[in-house]
Parts: sequence; structure tokens; C-alpha cells
Amino acid sequence: MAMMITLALILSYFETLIPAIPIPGAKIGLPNLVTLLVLSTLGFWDALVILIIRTTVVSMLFTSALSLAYSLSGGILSLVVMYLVMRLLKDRVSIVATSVIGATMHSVGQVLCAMLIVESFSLATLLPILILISIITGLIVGYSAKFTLKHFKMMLSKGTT
Amino acid sequence: MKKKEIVILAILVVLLAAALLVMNIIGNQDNRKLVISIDGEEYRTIVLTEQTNMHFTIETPDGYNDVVITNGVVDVVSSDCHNQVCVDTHPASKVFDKIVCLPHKLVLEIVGDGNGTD
Repeated sequence: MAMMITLALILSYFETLIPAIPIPGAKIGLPNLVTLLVLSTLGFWDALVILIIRTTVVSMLFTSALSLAYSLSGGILSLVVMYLVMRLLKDRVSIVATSVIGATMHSVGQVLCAMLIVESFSLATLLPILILISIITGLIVGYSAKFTLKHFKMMLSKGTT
Repeated sequence: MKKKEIVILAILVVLLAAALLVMNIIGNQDNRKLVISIDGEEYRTIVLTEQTNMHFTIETPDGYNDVVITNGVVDVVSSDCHNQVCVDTHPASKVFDKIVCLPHKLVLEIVGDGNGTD
């Protein structure tokens, strides 16, 4: 558990080193890899705890309180939807598709939160491009998760956490 | 990924691309205005033409944003916000283009004549 939080934090930091993708504010969402792995092995509550600790620590280290509200809203919406997808559709949806759905929901959550902050609905016009980017980043993270999952499960069964 | 998922995803991508294309086409109209709002309140509106050249500073309760308009193209050149997303955002020139500074609750958006985007 602690190791997963550390891993998520390192990925968050690593991500700040990658120069911005065309649209400012968009990120690859590497920490979502950890969320995905934990969600599909240890379960929803562990993933939620890791998500909250990760976003809180990251905002204390690198950003501000406002961006905490911002990344939490995206993160939690994304987590809940990914959990529901995994739970309700079980094996009918692959982990890659789950990741894409999660990434998309993350963008939607953030835009909703931003709308509340600036009290303007006009931000909705940002959604098409953001969702398009989310699909690409979701694919990247999803495939990473797919390849990591095998080893992660093996590690868990050996009890190294 | 399963085949069905790839098909759904492909359809979604096409729809989104179409939406962007439509926005791009509508966005090319002539009568454009720059609407600046802070925390949801309209702060200033500027009519944009090819000849609009301005340089001004917006003072928000949370900090400042330096705005430059060159030939009707709007860009935030500097700010004391912590994430600098507004400075990094591409200059805005078409309807639907917007520059947002969330830490300052500031939105600069370009709207068409008469039919605003909200």
C-alpha cells in the first residue's frame, strides 16, 4: 500500500518533467496507472485512499489548494466510473478500454469543477479536444497497465507488499 | 482491446473530430468580441478587428494577468499565477477559443456577434 502511494507520487513528479502536450493543462495521467492496477487487484477502497493521499501530497508539494479540488474531482469521478465499469461489465470490457473511460471521465470531472470555479458554462466547448486527448493518453496508460498487471499480480501473491 | 471496443472508440473519435471541425468553421466569422470575466462576472468586452492592437493588465483579486492583442489575436503574456497555464495557452483568435486562468478565476473568451457561446 505504502509502496503504491510512493509509486503514484513518483509518477506524478515524473509527469511534471515531461514537456506539455499541445493543449496546456493536459497531462498523460501516468499516476492513473497505479489507480488502475490497485483497482483491479486490491479493490475500490484501497484505490480511493491512494488517490486521495496522492492528490493531497502532490498539491502540497507542487501546486495549490485550488488545484487539489480540481484534481480530486477529476480523479474521484474517474475512479468511481472505472470501478462501476469493472464491477458491472466484469470481463466484457478490457483494462485498456477501462483506462480510456477513466481518462475521459477525468477530463469531464475537471471541466465540471472548472465550470463551478469560474461560474461559466462556456468552458464546455473545451471538452471535444480534451476528450480526444484523453482517449490517446488513456490508451497509453491502459496498455502500460495491461503489461504491468501480470507482474503486479505475481508480486502480490508473493506477498512483497 | 476487443474488436467492439475499437469500433466504439473509432466512432467516438470521428464524432469528436467532426465537432472540432464544425467549431473551427463556425469560429471563422468576422464580428468577434473578446469577453473577459472574473469569477463569473463580466469584467470587460473588447470588439476585435484585424486592426486591434492593445496591451493591458487585468488585476484580479488573486493576482494579475498581462494581455497583449496583436492584429486581433489575444494572448496572455505573463501572470503571477502558479501554474502558468494561461501563459502557455495558444493565442486566441477564433470564436470558441478561450484562455482560462483557473487560479485567478479568469476567463478570456472570444464570442461571435449576437450569439454568444453561453
